[in-house]
Amino acid sequence: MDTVLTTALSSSATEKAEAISADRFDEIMRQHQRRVYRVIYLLVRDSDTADTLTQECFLRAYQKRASFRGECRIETWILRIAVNLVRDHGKSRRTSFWKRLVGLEDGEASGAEPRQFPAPGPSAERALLAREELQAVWNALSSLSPQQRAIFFLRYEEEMPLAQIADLLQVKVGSVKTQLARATGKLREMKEKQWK
Amino acid sequence: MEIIRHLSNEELTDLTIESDQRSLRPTLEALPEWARASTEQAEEFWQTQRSIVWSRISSSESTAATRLVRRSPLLAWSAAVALVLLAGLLLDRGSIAPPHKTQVDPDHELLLAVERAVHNDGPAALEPAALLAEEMVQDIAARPPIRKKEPTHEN
Repeated sequence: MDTVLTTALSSSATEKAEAISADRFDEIMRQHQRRVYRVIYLLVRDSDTADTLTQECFLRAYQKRASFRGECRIETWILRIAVNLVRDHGKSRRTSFWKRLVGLEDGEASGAEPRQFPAPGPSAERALLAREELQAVWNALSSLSPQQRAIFFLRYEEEMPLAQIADLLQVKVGSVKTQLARATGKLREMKEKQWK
Repeated sequence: MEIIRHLSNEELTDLTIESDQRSLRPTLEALPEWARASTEQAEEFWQTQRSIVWSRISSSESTAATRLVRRSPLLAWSAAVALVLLAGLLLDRGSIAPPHKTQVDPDHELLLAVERAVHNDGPAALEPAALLAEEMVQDIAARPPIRKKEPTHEN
């Protein structure tokens, strides 16, 4: 069975840029689209935005595939694009908020129509419960910076090694540890309040 | 007496994380499953997502190509105009170039000075030496040529 652990860590370590043909890119997309979507979803907390940003991520990856020199795993490279897109999205959303406030931009009608797909039947309830649990985690981590939240989810949801997270976010391992400690501390604080 | 070693910041951070992980174990262990369940989609969703990506890729490539085609005559014309302007500027400079100034060549000046020095008389202190040299030259000229000694047949 395809689990987070197997999909997360079993991909080939390096891939040369010359080797990424259109066929190979389609294969890469099939292999990583669920994971990219999941990471983006955990960071933006919205399925339509996650879908749009996942598409944008693969479009950029295709356009910039010549710049991929194989210094890191291809999944690290793609997830780096995804995390950067989420960061840019956060900035533009803040800008958009202020624009709307001063009347320079109309409501939410800026993106395409959200795609409607039937939810997979038997697991619909499971998905609902899972989202409720995730909501509690999101609430606990809401006061953290986007980078700290990204580190938390990459470590505990994607089960990535600290060195890979550091490589992905282009920071030092020590910095990843410090920010992770803040995130776990916040979550622990929230859980202890719940239990009291 | 027991010596207690102080922990470094990194070691402290590691201990904090380990302690938090122990305390949050059920949540952290369930997190991957919650995330997977929340983002579960029908296969059709992923297929459509890939199709949209490919259509965006092809449209971005065709837009880039169109932009290049649209820009290429403009670029050619710009280059031609720039070339004409440059040629005009160079020709213009050639016609209004200032007349050549007669420049003094320092090498030539030095040569002339040496020539003058050679033609001048030498210093007075060297006059006796010059006289002596002249006499030696005359003496050599007046001397009969040296004959070769003929071989003797005494033996």
